[in-house]
Amino acid sequence: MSAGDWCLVESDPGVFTELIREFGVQGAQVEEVWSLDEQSFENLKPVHGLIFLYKWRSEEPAQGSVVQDSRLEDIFFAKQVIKNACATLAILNLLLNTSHPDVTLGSTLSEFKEFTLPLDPSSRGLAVTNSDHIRKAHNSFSRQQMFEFDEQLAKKDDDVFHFVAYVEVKGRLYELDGLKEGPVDLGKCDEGDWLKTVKPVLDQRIQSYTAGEIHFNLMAIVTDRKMQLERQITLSESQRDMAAKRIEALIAGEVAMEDSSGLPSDPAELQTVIEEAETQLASLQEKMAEETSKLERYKLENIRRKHNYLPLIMELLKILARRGQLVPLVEQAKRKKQQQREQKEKKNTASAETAK
Amino acid sequence: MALFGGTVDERREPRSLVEFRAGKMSLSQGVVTADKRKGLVYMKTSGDSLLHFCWKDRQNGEVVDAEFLTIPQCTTGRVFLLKFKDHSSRRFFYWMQEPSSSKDKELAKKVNELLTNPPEGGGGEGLPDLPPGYMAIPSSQLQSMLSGGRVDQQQLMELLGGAAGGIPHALAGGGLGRAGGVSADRPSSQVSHTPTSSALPAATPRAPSRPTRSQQQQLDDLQSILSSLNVPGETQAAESQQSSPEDAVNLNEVFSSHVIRPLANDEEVVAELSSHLPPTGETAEDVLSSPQFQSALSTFHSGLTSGQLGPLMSQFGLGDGVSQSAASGDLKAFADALQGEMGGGGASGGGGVASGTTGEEGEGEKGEGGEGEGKKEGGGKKEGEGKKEGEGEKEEQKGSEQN
Repeated sequence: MSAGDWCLVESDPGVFTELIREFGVQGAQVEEVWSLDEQSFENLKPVHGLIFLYKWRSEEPAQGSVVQDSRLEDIFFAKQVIKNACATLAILNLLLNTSHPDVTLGSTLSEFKEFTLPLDPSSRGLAVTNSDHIRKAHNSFSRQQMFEFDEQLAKKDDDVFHFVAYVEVKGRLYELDGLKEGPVDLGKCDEGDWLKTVKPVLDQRIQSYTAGEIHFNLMAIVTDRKMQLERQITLSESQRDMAAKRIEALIAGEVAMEDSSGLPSDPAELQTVIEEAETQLASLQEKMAEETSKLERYKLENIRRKHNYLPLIMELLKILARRGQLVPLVEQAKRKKQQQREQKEKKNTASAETAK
Repeated sequence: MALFGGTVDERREPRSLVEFRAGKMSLSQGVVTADKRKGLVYMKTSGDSLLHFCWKDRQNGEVVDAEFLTIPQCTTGRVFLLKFKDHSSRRFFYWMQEPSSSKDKELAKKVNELLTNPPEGGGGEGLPDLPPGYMAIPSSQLQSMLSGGRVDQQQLMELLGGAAGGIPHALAGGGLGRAGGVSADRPSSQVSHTPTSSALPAATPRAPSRPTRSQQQQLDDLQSILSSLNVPGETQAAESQQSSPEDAVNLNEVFSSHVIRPLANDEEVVAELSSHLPPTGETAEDVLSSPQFQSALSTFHSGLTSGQLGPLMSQFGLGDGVSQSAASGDLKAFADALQGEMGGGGASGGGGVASGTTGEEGEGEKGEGGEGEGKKEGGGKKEGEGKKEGEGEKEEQKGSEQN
């Protein structure tokens, strides 16, 4: 692949998570969002930004207004000038705007940001191409390495998918769409709870699709789950230990100890605190185990994704051919399809007749 | 859908509370594959006061699954996931075979209602001729139960779309689901995939009970399953609709689960394939039924039908005949040529070498050809007449030459 070639990547939280880690980002991961209700967002918090994937239409309903003032200095926005890089571009536009302490960009992205800040949005977009590191990470998810051919020629549908990012910058919500001239201002939002503001925006957008052509999904860049869980575990543990110590102190008669911890002074109540902390810990450990197995699954799937299946397919075809099964199988599939089609036609005719 | 009008079978078993046509799916290593048998899912209570969730093979009547559910969760769409709250490893997938998707939501709702509020054993309102333990709920009551929205549908119902296969890569294999307002679908306009009304945006959540952590967890699990979901049958159906009004098949259809399963369990085959499997330590069957393999197959098919794979064949030690047939972009021709070259020629009258417009030249060089060469679509334009006979003769010739 030449320097300008970017493969399409699959829209999958496992792929995106590995992608941002390969960019060198720490403390963040990507989760798919399945529902816009408060509870699902609550479970994902803190959310550093959202990535919306949709089937591109020439006429998108306009939302908000393109930013043209000095705020451009505060918002990182790169235009998409490279084909197929829109996933990476949306991720970069999102990550380079996050200032959350949980997220560490790493040297590649920090340097990239520094280097491109003085540039205009188009040049920034072009600069993405010049980052070998970013391009390699992106292209490592190529599925076309099997062989190079122009799939566009073969594809019958011209579905174009596009990614846009939603982020909060300094108390305002922005849509960062690499195909637009600049960041789109979607209004004021609560820094601590910007998801409240993004929900109606997404709702509106989703509703603009007719029921038959809903082709989109939503990803959230969130704080590294394991990191977060570890923190919560430490917290619960210390709560439990402090309560235990306090009970000991009470028993020893050191009642005078000032209540700086906010813990109750009644041994029974303290016991409850301990029990609650234990319950909490058990649940956190469980989540931790789930997270671990999820990451293992991602790993497995990513190995599968990156595998070159061409030799396997060829071997399989050869085996079947040698056994004389290949042609019959093709014919069988053909017959089956024919039958299905005929049945369908029959049914259609039948129902048409009934209708009369 | 028979709510109470279901058939009463010979053994005087209680009538189904709900039933609908659906096929099973199997889950292996996070990949869900459709079992193509025609089936029926039905729910009934029995003398033991337990609620049974059953699946029956519609063709041979064999009841394959009969599980009673404690506090299950069910999700639906054209694909259902039935999951047990207390046994996270037990997951049952079903795919809708009802011709119309319009009732999916209703059916799912009924199943969920029954699971959540199972009819109580020995209830007073049972119809007189029912065995003890079975309580028929008056349909009016059931209706109110169904429309009462007591179950958190947001949590219970996740409509799934098919995935992977020949979808543009941006979406292939991606988690596709609809819950609340977020929805995704494969980019085909296949009718059966259009979201049903249960994909209504979350703008109208109805006062759902607060989801418990375990519910959320199950959704998380579901997400992870969905993200690797592959529904071969549906993918193919969609593709075929797009690709050709004729009966052109693609490789994903040729390598259906029925074909893959026996192959992947054939020791000889596995031994030959082993060096080409991804280094995941999975079995050949897992790999071959994975969405990633199916997707690769689909890409291969696109490459083949675009005629661009011709030059590649020699890299795999295959002769000009195969190269040329691959260059012709016709799957059947390619299969014929490959089978001819590999010596499996005599199988089904398909052993003849078929090729594209340059076929004669190539075959001539190899000395295998002959005037009567079996021509497929490509060459058929010129020699359509002699096609059938030519193929027959060819078959014999090849058989003797190769063996």
